[in-house]
Amino acid sequence: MEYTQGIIKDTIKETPEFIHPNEYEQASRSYLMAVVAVIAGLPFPIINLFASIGYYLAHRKSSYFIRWHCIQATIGQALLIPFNSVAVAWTLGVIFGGRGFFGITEIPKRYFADNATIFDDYSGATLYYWLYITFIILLNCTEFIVVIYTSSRVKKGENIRWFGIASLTDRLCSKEDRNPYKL
Amino acid sequence: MDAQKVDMYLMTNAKFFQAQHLNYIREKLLATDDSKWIMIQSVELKDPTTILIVSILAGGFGIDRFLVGDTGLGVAKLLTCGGLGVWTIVDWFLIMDIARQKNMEKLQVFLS
Repeated sequence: MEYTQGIIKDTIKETPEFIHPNEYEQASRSYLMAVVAVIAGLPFPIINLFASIGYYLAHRKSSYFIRWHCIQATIGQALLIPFNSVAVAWTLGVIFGGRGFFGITEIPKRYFADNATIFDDYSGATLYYWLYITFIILLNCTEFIVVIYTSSRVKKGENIRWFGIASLTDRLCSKEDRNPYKL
Repeated sequence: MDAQKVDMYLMTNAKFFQAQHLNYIREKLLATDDSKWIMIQSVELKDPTTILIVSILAGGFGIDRFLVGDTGLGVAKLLTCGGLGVWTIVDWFLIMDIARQKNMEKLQVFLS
């Protein structure tokens, strides 16, 4: 009987998947979607997410690299939705709240009351509100910069992984090769 | 098929296909029978640049989608006024690759 001393090491090495340079550009565009969609739907926080999802759906059959970056961009946008939605809802509440149906059935106080200022009509705009709006603006500006930076790096062929989101993307993105045109 | 003929076809038509598919097309064309050459040459390929211009100018009406052959999506885009502008913008980035994809599907019918 044969006897082998020691541990037999697995000699099969995983060969890195070849990524065509053309795919770098397609992957980098997934991040640009969120930035460009701002033109169409700035007041609505969910528009960027729709743009990212649309781009992903169009690339369902693309390579793993493209799909992975599409999903990372989409999750990144989805994480911002709750923060931005609260900001939009709060702002609408400040503008229309406490003044009748959508704020149009009651005449604003500043038009008839003595010594009434614009602040009396928009009393909901408290310090907390302005602090939150400042936080939201900073958050969105940071996201904007991070997205543009990621897009430019991915275009050069680097695999940028966002903290926390990347590991979730690994789990969500299927490793199945969906390319119908392979030799 | 003759290698010279295949290379000539690829040199002329490379812009109609995605760069990552060119090698696949070459290998498949080489393995294809000469009798299909006339059919392959006569396949009408859509120019991605033309489609992009149409998408920029009339994307809101879904004309670009009609041109590439996605009639259902074209109607949907038309009825939603280009997905309220968002779909139009997304398609500016997608439509060239979609046109190349459609060209590939047309050619694929004749490849062995």
